[in-house]
Amino acid sequence: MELTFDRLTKQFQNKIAVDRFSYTMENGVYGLLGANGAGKTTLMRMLCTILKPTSGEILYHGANIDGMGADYRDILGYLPQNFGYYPDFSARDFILYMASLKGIQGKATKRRTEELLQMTGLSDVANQKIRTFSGGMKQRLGIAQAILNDPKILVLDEPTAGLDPRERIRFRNLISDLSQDRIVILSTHIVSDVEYIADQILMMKKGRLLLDGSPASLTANAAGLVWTLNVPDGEARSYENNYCICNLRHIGNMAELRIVSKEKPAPAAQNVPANLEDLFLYHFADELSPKDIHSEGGEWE
Amino acid sequence: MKTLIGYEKKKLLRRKSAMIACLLMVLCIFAASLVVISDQSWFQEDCTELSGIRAIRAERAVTQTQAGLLTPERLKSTLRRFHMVYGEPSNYNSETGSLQEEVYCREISPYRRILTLLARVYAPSGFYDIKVLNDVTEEMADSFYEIRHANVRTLLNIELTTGNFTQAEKDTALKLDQQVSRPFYYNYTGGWKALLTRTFSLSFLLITLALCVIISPVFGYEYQTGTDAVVLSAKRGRGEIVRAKITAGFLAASEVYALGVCAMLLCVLVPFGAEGWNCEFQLLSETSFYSLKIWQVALLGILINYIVMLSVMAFTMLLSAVCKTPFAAVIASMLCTAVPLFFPASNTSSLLNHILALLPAQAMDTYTVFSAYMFFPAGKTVITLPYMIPIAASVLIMAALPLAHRGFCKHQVV
Repeated sequence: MELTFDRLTKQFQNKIAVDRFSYTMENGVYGLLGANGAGKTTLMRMLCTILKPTSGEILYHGANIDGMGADYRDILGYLPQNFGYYPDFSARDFILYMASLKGIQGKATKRRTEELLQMTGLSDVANQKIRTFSGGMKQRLGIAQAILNDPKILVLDEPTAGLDPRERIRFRNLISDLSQDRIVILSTHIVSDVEYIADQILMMKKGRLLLDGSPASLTANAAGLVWTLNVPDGEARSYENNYCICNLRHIGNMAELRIVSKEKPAPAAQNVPANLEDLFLYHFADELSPKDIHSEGGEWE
Repeated sequence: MKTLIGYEKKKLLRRKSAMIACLLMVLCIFAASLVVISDQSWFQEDCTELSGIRAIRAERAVTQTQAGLLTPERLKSTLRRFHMVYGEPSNYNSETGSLQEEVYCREISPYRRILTLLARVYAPSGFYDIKVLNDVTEEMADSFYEIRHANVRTLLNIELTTGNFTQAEKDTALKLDQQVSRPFYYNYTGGWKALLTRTFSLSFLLITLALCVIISPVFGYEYQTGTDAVVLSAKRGRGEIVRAKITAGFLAASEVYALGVCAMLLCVLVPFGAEGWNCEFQLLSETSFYSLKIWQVALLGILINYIVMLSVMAFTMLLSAVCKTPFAAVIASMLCTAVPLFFPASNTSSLLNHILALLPAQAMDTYTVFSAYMFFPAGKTVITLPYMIPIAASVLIMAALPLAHRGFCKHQVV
């Protein structure tokens, strides 16, 4: 299976939300990382054919998805960022309605509905109106409808929003189980959501694909950039002003800083292995310009 | 498809606003009929004035005894009675010179419906004082139906500031008028009069406005709830779903329409009674040139208004598909439906009057539709208003639905 983004661009009046995005995906889980406004949601909406690109195209096995119409939507599962629902519908009604909308017919509809209600832990509340659901329950319902038609392309926009830690782990396991023989695209700005389950990470900034690769290769490329440093509490502020601080932990009168920097921030600083979160913060901390990285550490290009 | 239609209908009718709109519609129809009932009055022979239900009962009882064909002989005897009463000097009040009240109540009031009909036919156009019958001889009763037909001809030849009727229009109306069956069958028609002249247009307007509230979320609800993203990205999210939504919208509208019509008929015909259903419509509108019984006018009114209502719903669906919120759609559709009601007829523009007559606010006034002299040229033929309204409504439906379909399918989730 091959899904190709070819110089995909979306412009809203004066703002370019997605800027000449090109990439090819095959089976696997793709984690789309970026700060708010990076263009992740716009990209996903174009992938789901609910937003027209200004230019460029998305090809599925070489065919433009716009021309495929219902055939393309048949292999698509989508959980939007702000998942909408019908407040007066019960969970079961909603899934049955979505099943009908996705062209699932006959006995398969009820069987699949019950299966998904079970899978998402909503069986006990299946007949309750959705308006009575918690945020996490609604999100699980959204996930259930997204995978209802066993999609070849599963697009999940901020799927863990509103889920508690236990539900997040459960969700990650679910995605791992689903990742066989399909493309799963998962957008988030919570790095830990994708760190362990994504085969590939795509980092977007200002509508552009900033970098991509497996989590391991990305963090390997960031080797030598992350430092830990213990400083007295009073000095922590000056480091915060000058460096990208990924983490700050107070231990007694001391502060343990985790700093991302091309230069060693202090003689006592110790180089430590980078993780994806370090990388993310490095690129999306407002005080740092990506030009600095490109000019000296060209490995991010 | 059936499942989708079922769910779409459920979405429309299960909303609180839909239930409130239905309830308000029925309550308003009920209130309107109460006003009509309370407006009824009747003078008994002893000049006691009755009002409301008691007046209706008294008038029904008296008028039913007079039921029968309005033959020239019958008209003659009625005129004779009138002349006898008005020709007897002792029946007049010596001080005021007018007919004594008790004489009027005893001798004239029970026959006032027939006398009013006679006065309207024999009176100069626009002058309906019952006293004109003093100048009508009994022999003139022989030509009652011919004079009525001549009145229709006179109205067709009248000089209008908006332009006179064409010969084809006159011929059409006169040809239709010749088919009006005669003699007229006379009976108590108070219920049908109240229905057609007082309740019909208001009720249908209320039904349509309630339906604007109910149907406006048909597409807009998806935008409002944010479900547009999952719906439009689903396999059947741009083809079957639109057809299902439109079908569900029309089905829901038809059900609510049926509820409204039943409420209206019950609220009026239960207290008034349905007698007079088989009388000629001309008993209510003597210069109407349509050969129809009262029940046929009412039925045609219900059917015509049904098509008009569907056209308003199609327009509402179009607005729902293109507006960002159902609220915008409901406001726009309600304004388009109700505002033309307040447009006065133009004294100069025939075109404007013709357009206004086709808009829902006026098109739903069945009594006027079947009484008005309004024609639409179509090549060599002439289309009358009751035919033109469903044609125009059908055209609107056919134009609005593909646009609604397109509006929803092309909707961009931003």
